[in-house]
Amino acid sequence: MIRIHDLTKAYPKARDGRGSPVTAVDRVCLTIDRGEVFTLLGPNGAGKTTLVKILSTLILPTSGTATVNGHDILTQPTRVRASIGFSPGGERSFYFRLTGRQNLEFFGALQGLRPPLLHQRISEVLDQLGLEEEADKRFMKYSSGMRRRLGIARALLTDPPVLLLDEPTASVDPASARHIREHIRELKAQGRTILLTTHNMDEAERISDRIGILNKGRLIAVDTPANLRGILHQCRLRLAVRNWGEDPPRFIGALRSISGVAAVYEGNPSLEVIMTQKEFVTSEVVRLIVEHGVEVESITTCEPSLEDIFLTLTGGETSRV
Amino acid sequence: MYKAYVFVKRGFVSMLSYRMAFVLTLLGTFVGAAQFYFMAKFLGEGHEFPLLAPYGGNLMGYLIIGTTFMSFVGVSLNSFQGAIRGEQQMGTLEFLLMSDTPLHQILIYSALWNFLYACLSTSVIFLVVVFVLGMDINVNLGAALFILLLSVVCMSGFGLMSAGIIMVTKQGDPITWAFGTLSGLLSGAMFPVELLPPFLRTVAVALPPTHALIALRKTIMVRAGLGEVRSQVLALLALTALTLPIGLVVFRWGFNRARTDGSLAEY
Repeated sequence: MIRIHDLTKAYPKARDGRGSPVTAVDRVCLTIDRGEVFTLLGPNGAGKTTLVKILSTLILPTSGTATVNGHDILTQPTRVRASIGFSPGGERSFYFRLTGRQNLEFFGALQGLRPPLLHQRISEVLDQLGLEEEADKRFMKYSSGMRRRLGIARALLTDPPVLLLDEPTASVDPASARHIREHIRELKAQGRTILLTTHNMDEAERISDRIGILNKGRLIAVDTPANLRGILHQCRLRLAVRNWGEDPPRFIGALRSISGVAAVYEGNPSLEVIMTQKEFVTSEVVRLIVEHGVEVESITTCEPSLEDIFLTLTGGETSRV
Repeated sequence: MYKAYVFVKRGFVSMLSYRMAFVLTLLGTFVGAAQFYFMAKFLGEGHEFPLLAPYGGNLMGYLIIGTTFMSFVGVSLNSFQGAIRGEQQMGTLEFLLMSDTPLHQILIYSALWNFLYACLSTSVIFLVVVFVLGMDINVNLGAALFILLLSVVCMSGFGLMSAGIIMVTKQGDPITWAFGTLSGLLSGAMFPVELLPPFLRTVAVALPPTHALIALRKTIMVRAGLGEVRSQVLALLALTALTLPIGLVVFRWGFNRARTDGSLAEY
């Protein structure tokens, strides 16, 4: 549905007009399948929005190309635009003095919709996004969450097969963010292809079929959330210690000597063991606890978070483009 | 037509939402018209104006038409760049560009509201000065409207140039400044072009408002037909043929430059 081939966007100098040349998107290759929710994850300035805007035909790439729904972004921009619904990152993309419904009527008309189909589609998308009751309030009275939802409603007006959602839950409260995620799942269930951007790792993990990690314009990893977790091959064992036994240093030393233990971090009253071989290390740790007379309240294991993976892949450094 | 309707509706709804600003603007226009009325009365008392003979010697009509026409110069010059800048500030420009509607249509529809608004306020002024203040006119309405429309289209070439430049510079363009200033000074808005030194009269001939004002005054004040203002119509057509293509080229250049720079939404 979306094929990106060797796409690069370079600016001769930084966007503020000063500084050295900047490569916002650097030789990105990616294929997103029909009906897939794909998340571009990266810090601010990683190149996510630039990539989405190139796919929207709003920015011309320096080199490379891409197709959306089979249409080339460079040679068939009109057909590309007809295939996509775009919801922007900011809240300022509507006319503040107009109501939500009037805004949708305006943008729908520009998309070529005419009454009565236009008014029917407006009612449908308002209902779908839960905005029917607020539709006749001026946009300036909308909360951040409602503004985001109206943005998605506008993207859906023409019933496009592809949705590009730039930071759909940025700066909204947790309840609104949850609602928006639910809407995104419903849109996926309708068979739409969704490319969204976020710097929220938790959100990416919850709603994505696959995640692409973008840093300094380069796509450094693409996989399912589960497979990305496997990149680290690490797991954490957390011990809540009640009684350290007779010789705590000897106990800690014994833990560190277990084959498959990468590190042991001491806290009080907790202990964290970073392990590369989960089953073997866990049984060894239990054996040493008993052997050294240590009393523990709980033992928990933790999979690596997306944040761990992200920091590992980026070497813990990110930069603004 | 439906697209034109939603643009006009947007402008109308926004205008109504700023009621106080609307009322004050209208009042300001009345005060301006009244100033010219009394100024013309003061200057015209016991004086003849041979240079205004082609327009029936009517000083008040001369000044009122000059002033109100300058608002159409403003519409032509600023509508396109104002529309782009307004959409950039609202954050809506990218959505308009992503729509099914070609860019040139978006610009025309955006300008349409400004044009209608200028027509409305001009009509109100004329109604007041004619029916309340008693100004004499002898209008050929069809010819006057044709001249007005042709003038706006002709000056839109400069408006497009201005919009193309503003897409790159984001603020400040020499076209608006130069055209606006020269038109106000040299095109005969407040005094006949014949009073200018010869070299400035040559510059005035190159300005569309110079021809537009002569033709408008004749069609409004002495009921001239299009045949009687043929030379002005031809001059406006020639200038349109020259400036409109240049305007389109400059605008396309600015748009593509902003698209390449990724700065379409920036202002």
